[in-house]
Amino acid sequence: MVSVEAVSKVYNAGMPDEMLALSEVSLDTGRAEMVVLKGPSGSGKTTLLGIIGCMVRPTQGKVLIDGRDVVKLPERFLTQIRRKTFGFIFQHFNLIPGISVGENICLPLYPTRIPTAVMKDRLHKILTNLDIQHKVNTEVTRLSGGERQRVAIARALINDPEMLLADEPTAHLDSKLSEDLIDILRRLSQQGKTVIIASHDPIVYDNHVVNRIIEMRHGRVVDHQIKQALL
Amino acid sequence: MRKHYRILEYALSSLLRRKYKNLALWFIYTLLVCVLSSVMFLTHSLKTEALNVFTDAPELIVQRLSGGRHDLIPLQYAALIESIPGVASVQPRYWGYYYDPLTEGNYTIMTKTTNAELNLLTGTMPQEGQCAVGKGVALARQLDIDDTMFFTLGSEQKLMLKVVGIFTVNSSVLTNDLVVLNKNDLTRFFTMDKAKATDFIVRVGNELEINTVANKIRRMLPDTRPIARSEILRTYENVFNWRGGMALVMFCGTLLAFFIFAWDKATGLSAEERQEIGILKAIGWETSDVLTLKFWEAMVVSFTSFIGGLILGYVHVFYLGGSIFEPFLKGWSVLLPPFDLIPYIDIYQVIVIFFLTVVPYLASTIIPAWKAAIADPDTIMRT
Ligand SMILES: Nc1ncnc2c1ncn2[C@@H]1O[C@H](COP(=O)(O)OP(=O)(O)OP(=O)(O)O)[C@@H](O)[C@H]1O
Ligand SMILES: [Mg+2]
Repeated sequence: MVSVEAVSKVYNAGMPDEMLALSEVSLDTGRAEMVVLKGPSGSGKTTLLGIIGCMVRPTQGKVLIDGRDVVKLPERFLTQIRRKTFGFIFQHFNLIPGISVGENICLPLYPTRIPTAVMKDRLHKILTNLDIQHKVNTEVTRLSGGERQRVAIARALINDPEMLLADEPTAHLDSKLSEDLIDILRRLSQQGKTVIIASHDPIVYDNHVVNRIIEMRHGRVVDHQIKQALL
Repeated sequence: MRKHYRILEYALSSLLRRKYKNLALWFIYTLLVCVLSSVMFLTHSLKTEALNVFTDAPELIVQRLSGGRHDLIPLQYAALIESIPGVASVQPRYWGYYYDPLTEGNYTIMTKTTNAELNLLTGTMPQEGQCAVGKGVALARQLDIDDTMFFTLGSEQKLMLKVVGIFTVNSSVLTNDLVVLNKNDLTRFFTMDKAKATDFIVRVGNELEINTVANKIRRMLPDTRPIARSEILRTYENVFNWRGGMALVMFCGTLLAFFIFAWDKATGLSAEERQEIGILKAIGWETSDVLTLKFWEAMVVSFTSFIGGLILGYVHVFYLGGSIFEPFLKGWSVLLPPFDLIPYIDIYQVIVIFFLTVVPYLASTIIPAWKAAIADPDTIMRT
């Protein structure tokens, strides 16, 4: 699916505040896996997630998506890859305030050729799956943290991506909601989607549903365990 | 198509989300377009009026001077002028100014001349005891057909005329302050010498000979002054004296425009808008999609305010008489009774206003958005 080969990322290269955020990181993920990137704050989890999701360009190394190196591709192609391959769940949700749940979720599909009827259909299915169909017309700033989280997940799923990337998805949730969230992600991975989660929350990385744990520190991978063979 | 429709829909909902900012922007923008289009409409309309005056004006007018001032001209001069080669006809005109103490307006009183192709809106040409009036006079004195109009000069000179016609607005500058009456009534009222006229209209067969004829008249009758059409136009321009006023108005318009763009630039893209562009990019919108969105947003605001301002400017100039500019244009509003400008719209002008307003607005919206959209979307991962 995705493999990262000896990737480094330097922020603000050549400036006084130059920062080596990732150093020679390599990893591989397979289909339908549930991967956790674990590590203390500042260890480079978000950066690595961004590189995998084609949002951050690495300074060095290769990122292969379905065998194709995407590092040097122009921005336009990266956008297309992002749209087709990834669903991103941001740490702060990044929902657009002032518009409804339904609009927020469908936003990724607006500039596509997908018919509006198909879009509505997908929206309905996803909302039902996540049990928030009754909130479809609510303005997003009126939602609770857990509801926002589910809207963010729904938006990540609307383009039917092969891979779901989640940055600290439990940061704003209590343990009950965190368990629910992991359950949702597990179901998605059982449906064949690869799920990569950056988290330093034990509820996530100690969870039995996780197949692979990649531990990071100071921009390096320090441990890589495969907990459970794929079914 | 479907894609554009959805982006347009989203653009509309985006505008609604920031409705106060956008409403304020829309309002100021409409005002700017209104000022600019008012200036253009007014200028163009006055120019067209002046041109009408020009084409309606006689080729050559001959006045008599005495003591350097305009005096009545003896009718026997007509025969002398007619004998000059190239002169097609000579026609005496009888006219004068009348200050109306009732409405505090100056009217031009004249007899009907064949030269004036003045159509009557309604009614007939005046016979003795009758008159036809311009639209401005009719409005000022609240006259209608069959009403009676009084003129007084001092205490004993009085004239009572029945209104039989009101002039069309074909050229309101020309006919607005006009009272046309019969020659006998006029000469009696002004106590003019029967053997004299106010001036002559001289028709010259060949346009090119006008100056030659004028010189010959001057030599033959040294106490006369021939005035060619081009000089009349200059006089009218002096009367309007709108150039100075226009410059001022233009200046104000430009100032207002500058103010808007300064304000727009200063506000630029808010952090929130920048964030939104980042989110859209991150969830799979291409730069061109973001630009399409911003294009529609800007287009909706600027196009509606363009149309709105244009209509407002039109109403302002042609129905409210350009009242905002009155202080700048005192020149003619004092000299002439109030008159409605005749609506002339020039598509070329509308295009100019479009390029002065809509295009810079589009640019000032799309360029910052484009800058934000080409940046890597990763910054939004840490907000
Ligand atoms: N745009 C940037 N410019 C400069 N430095 C950056 C930038 N983005 C990240 N960094 C630095 O890179 C390092 C890794 O950041 P990253 O966000 O990947 O860490 P993280 O593991 O996600 O941390 P956390 O758990 O706090 O979210 C940090 O030291 C951060 O300060
Ligand atoms: Mg992080």
